[in-house]
Amino acid sequence: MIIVSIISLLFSLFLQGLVSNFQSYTIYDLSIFSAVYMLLTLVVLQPYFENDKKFLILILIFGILLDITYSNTFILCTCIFLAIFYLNKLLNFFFPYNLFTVNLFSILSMISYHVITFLFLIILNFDSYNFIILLKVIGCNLIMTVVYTSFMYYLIDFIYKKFKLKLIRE
Amino acid sequence: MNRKRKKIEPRYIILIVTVIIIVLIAVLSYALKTDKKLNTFESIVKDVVVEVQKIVYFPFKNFSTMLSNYNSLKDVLEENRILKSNVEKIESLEAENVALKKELEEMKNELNIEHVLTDYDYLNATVVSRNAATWYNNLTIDKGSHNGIEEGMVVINSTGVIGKTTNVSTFSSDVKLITTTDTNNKISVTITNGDKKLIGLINGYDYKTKYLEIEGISNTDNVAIGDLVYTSGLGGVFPSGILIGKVADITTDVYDLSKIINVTPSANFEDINYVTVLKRTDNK
Repeated sequence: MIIVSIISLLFSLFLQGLVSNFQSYTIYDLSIFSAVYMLLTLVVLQPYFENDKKFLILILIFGILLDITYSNTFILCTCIFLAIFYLNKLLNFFFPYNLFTVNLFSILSMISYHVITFLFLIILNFDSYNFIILLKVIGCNLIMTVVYTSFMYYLIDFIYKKFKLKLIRE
Repeated sequence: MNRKRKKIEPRYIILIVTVIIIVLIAVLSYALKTDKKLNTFESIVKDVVVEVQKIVYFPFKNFSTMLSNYNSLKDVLEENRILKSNVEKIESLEAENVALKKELEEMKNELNIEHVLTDYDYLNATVVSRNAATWYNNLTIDKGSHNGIEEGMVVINSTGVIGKTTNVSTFSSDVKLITTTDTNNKISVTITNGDKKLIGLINGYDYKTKYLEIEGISNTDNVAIGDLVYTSGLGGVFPSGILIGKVADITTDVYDLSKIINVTPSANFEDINYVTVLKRTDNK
């Protein structure tokens, strides 16, 4: 299962770069294909990890990779992913894991990601966008978040069952 | 799915959240510094990912190029006719070029301008990816220090100035676009109004109107809508004479002392696939 996780995270890393070439870069002209693919993959993968330590290592490695290659924000994405990991841990505790809830978690994670980034940009007085634009960003991310989460949910579930993989424990 | 559920103590959650918030503020303020340079680890990771990204992107890019080539085929005959007539003019243009170069050198010395376009070598690069954080206004190109790129080099495309290089690694670099809200990214510009040239400073980019805002022009100076805006060459980073755009709108500041000039950029920032980096010839 750990190999499947690494491959799916690498796939989302390159998908992030690939899709960026076919869409506008500005925050005012976002396309409906905008999404933080790696974050969504992490949300889908989280219930397959009973060992938090291993999942946290994956978040650290892939968060740093995303930070260095596509966002140039040192370890900002990594820290946000970590925060979202704890949010999802809480959600997974209260809700069962199915297509509906995983999409709900993904949407909440995506909103958290953008809201946290927005709040920190405001704190640091980086005048790049306002609250209306934040809503637009979240709106533009919604469709692809649901599509990609559903795709990854079915794909990973299929691989998990087909190859009779085990949950990642100690 | 069987899952063990461990309970986390609330005091640990509060501690973790506090630490994360403090770390995020520190990290982001550090990351937003423009002079942040890539360390060896970051440089290696970035190069590896960019190289793989190029391989992944290759078939998609080829397909997209094939499509655009096919679309442009219908115009080939007309373009060929125009090119033939242009070839006949080349000899006279070359003679004119020699005379202009001499004249330019004399004027540069007289006006004390550090760099003009002829002082640069051109290096073409392909855009590999755009920044995932859309507020950051960065894109990544497939040329780095191995190709002679250094921090702060000017990047243009066929329609005008785009930005300057940052985060240079061995085989890739980032381009910070002129549309960034970064206050350290101000560019000195010249507005040509007939024979008169006015010097101003690009203050920022308004995403709603898609205008670059120029300040520092006195209210008594005459500027008309449609005047062309070029880089002035002052400041030493951007060479003079690169087209930035056209004046689209003119207002005054709150004290009615200076003009605020809105410029429509000549470069299309929504469609940047190939760029040219200007390498200073003395950097060779």
